[in-house]
Amino acid sequence: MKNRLRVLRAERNWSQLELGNRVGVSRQAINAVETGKFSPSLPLALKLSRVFETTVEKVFELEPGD
Amino acid sequence: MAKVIPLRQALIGMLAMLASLAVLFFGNRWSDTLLHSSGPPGARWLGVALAVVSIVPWIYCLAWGVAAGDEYVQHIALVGTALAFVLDLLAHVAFNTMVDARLLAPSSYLPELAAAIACWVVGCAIAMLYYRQRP
Repeated sequence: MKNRLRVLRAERNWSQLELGNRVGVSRQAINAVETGKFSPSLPLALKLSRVFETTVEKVFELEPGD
Repeated sequence: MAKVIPLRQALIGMLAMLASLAVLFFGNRWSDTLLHSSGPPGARWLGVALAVVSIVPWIYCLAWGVAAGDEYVQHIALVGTALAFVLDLLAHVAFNTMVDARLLAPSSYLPELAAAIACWVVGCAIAMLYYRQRP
């Protein structure tokens, strides 16, 4: 699953720690999601899209093999 | 900590963990004394109960620590626990086979609690490394 977390974060000049604090998870969790090593739960995906004021589909995208 | 928890709460958690380890250590020692006493069966039953009950605070502290984490930490703990189950099983089979093969003395025994703790720590470490290194 691809995601645009890094881009969206950079647009707002937020660190991983700051994003983590906004959605209530650790910096490590944000890093794991951002690098595609961990797929977030639906509530976390919704929280992430909410803080970026966009939809889940615009943050996360399925890849052909998913 | 995964989710941001107040320092005071983290300190209380750490103190509770230390206290639970003390209960575990002294509970087991007291339990051993009761189990090997020549007293009535009631004393030995009390030793058995004490051996089991003295583990509970430590397990509670572990569960609290995992619950205080975010979903990433909980996921790692879940995978690590599953791995620990397999590792513990393998350790027991290996140990019993070594005793059967007389590679170890027949009187030797595997310390159950220490083996379980070690397997859990190793399992969680493997899970953490896997989620860090996977492509």
